[in-house]
Amino acid sequence: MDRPTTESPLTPDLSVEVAGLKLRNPVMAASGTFGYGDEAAPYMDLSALGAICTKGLGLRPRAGNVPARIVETAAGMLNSIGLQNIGVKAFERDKLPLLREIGVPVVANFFGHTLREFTAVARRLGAMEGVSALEANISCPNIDKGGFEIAHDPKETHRFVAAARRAAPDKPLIVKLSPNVTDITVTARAAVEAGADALSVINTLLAMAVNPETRRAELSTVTGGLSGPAIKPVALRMVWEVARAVEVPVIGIGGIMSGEDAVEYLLVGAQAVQVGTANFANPRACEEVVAGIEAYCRRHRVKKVTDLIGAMEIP
Amino acid sequence: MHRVRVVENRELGGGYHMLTAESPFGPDAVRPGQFVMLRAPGRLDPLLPRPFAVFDVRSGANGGPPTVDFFYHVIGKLTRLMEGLAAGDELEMLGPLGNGFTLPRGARRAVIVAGGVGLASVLLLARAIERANRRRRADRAIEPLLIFGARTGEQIVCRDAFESVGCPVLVTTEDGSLGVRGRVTDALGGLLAARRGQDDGLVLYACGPEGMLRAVSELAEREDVPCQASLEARMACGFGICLGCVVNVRGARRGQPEVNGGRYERACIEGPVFNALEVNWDGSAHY
Repeated sequence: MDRPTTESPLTPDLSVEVAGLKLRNPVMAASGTFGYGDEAAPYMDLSALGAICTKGLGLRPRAGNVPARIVETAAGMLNSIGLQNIGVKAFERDKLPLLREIGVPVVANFFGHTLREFTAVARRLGAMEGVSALEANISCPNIDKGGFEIAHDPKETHRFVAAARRAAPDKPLIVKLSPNVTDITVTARAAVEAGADALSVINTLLAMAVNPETRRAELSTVTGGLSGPAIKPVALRMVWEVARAVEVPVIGIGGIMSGEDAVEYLLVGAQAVQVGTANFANPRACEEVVAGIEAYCRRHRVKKVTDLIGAMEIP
Repeated sequence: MHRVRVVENRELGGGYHMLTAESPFGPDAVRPGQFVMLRAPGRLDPLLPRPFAVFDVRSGANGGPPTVDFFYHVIGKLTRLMEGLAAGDELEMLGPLGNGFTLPRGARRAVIVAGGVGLASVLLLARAIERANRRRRADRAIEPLLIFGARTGEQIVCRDAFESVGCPVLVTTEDGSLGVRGRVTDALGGLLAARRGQDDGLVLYACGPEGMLRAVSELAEREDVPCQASLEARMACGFGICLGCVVNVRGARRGQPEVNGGRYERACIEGPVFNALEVNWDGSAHY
């Protein structure tokens, strides 16, 4: 690739389209790292985002897990929040009106521990004006099948996604894949066959930490989800695999801290990205990633950010 | 996140340090008991910021920026890095954050109980009491006292900072090398027993290790005295998003699901100061 020495004077076009959603840039705030939008508002310009993914929503409010819920690990963190959320009803009443005002697409992340619950939440969210798309969390325990992640079984993945598809026929349906499987392309194909319009890759990696001094597990649940820069090479590999395996757009997630990190995901085939853990370290992280992508495009004379998608070369 | 420069970083003895940095906010912008998140710029490890109580804030001298003091001891990756910082080095700072201590209108006596590094969050409280007393009529003034406890005498630092704002200091050390031998709760227990039955407008404030807070809270409950406790919790963000720092608070509230007879409140938004008598100590974290 050329290495130009001067920056492009042109403003690069950062807009992308994912599953019918027109985003002003490819940077979305990841679910669970941005609340319902209102908490970050004092610290950043929310309209600078490509989209906002809400905290995972369930049918009813959920208290979440007993603390300790988080612990930092090398270049990352473990969380075991336990899907604490206000429930779809309070979301529609208390949060959605403010989210709509921001003027960026609102992606409602949702979960359900049974097919019935999962479908009911999808139906409620699918009918809400101001919800631009749904993002299904299939990493939560499937109580119908002994509490294993839905994503652990491609048949269950298909069943849940197909049901959500039917329950919310008018909205783009994104499925957030779990990395805790042998072959992520199997789950990816199952989700797409069941009607997913896009795939978010990846959710957190199952992990744990123990304190050798106290001999105690660092989390009350012992295991939790690893996120942050520590997982980026794994996530990048999975995005690359999924992007080659399916026709629908892939949204890359995992350890993005900078514009260059985001560009790496685009190069391996992601259509957009989500910034997660970085929001905790810096509430303006998403804005800075957008600025970083723009600076990268100028530096490399990229006119349209879409030119980067899948443009990785193999030596 | 503000990028701020370190002005001074000194060792106080007993394992304690005081870091002074340029502050993005002045003294009027911070309430006693509030905290900031500090982060080492440009690093992936440690990745996340950590909460630090605002020990003190001063207006800038000669038109310079205000400065903020942090009282800390070295316990983890970030504080180990902080120990090595010198004037001119940089930190990232978000804040001030959290709710802070309050002075109830009927308060006439304030006993502040601080254990170890818990001292970090109570100097601004002592100063707020001094300021309130200047506005109050003499018969409505609040009489402050700090009970400051540590393992040993060399860890008893910063006494003059409290005495200079009119807050006397009662020292306790576990080894008896300075002040009263024993724990802060021993001294507090004696004090509470001595005023039993008096209508003295006493309010307790506490900051320190969880075991101490719990013991102070039990004494407050037994003696029927209001008590505000500043809790420490692991936080990833400090501004309400990560839900990592929740504390179990007794009593149900509409729209919030019940857990162990209580509900989860975020230490960063609804805290870090909680009504100690409402904290469900069994339902919160034990790190």
